[in-house]
Amino acid sequence: MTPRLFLFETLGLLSYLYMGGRLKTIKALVIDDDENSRLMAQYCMFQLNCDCDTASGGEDALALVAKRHYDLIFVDWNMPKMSGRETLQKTEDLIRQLGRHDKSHVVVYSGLPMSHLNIPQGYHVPVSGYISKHVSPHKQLTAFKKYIDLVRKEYKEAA
Amino acid sequence: MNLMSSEHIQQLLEVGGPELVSELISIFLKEAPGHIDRLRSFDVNKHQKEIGEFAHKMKSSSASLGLISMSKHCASIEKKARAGQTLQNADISQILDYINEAQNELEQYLRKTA
Repeated sequence: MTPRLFLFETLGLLSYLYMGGRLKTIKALVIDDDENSRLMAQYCMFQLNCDCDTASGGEDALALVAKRHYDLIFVDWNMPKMSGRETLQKTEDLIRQLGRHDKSHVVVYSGLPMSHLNIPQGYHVPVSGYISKHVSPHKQLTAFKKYIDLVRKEYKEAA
Repeated sequence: MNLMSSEHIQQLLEVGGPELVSELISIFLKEAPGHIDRLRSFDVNKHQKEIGEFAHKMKSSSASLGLISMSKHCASIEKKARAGQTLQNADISQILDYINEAQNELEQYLRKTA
């Protein structure tokens, strides 16, 4: 972990403690076989004070999903071993098998245009949106923020 | 040739600081020799699908560092491969040129900012 990532993690924890736990920490999972993309997403998450885990493929992601609930899952669609679609199907099966009822928002994070992706509807983990990897870093950060804000709004409404 | 977009690098610095930029560059430089070997092993007449997949990956890797013209070239190869259009040896050799040039520029950037 770089000093900056360490700092982001520490600041996130401190702000959480300062708020006396009233602000719920948003947990995000980034699933992508491309190391550059994982890193970019991870830095954006830390900028947005999120608790972020990363997985380099579907198998790693399933192991993480089995252990904890994620508010947001950012998934690459075009992965070599297990595609984004298959990863979501297996995630859905796993959550059911575990008897859990927690729901995650899924955002496709892809280098392909949305029109090229065959995204199924009606999942236990519904696909909430799409972020293109091929936009500027500022635009990516803004796009990630949109989904973080969506989850924060839901928590606020539920409180 | 100046491949790196300074505006893109500036934005990366604002999002993740110098650590993000140097980490992204390190990943690119670490993977470059393997990419060069892989590209050299391709036969345009036999490996259309593999070249398309490779171009897709390189499109993302180069875009993440603001190597805009390289990313656009890879996108055009990916598009041609997906459409089943015939690829030329020149398509591959141009990606090789881009990787070599990118390596030089990125190493130079790291030296300058060290």
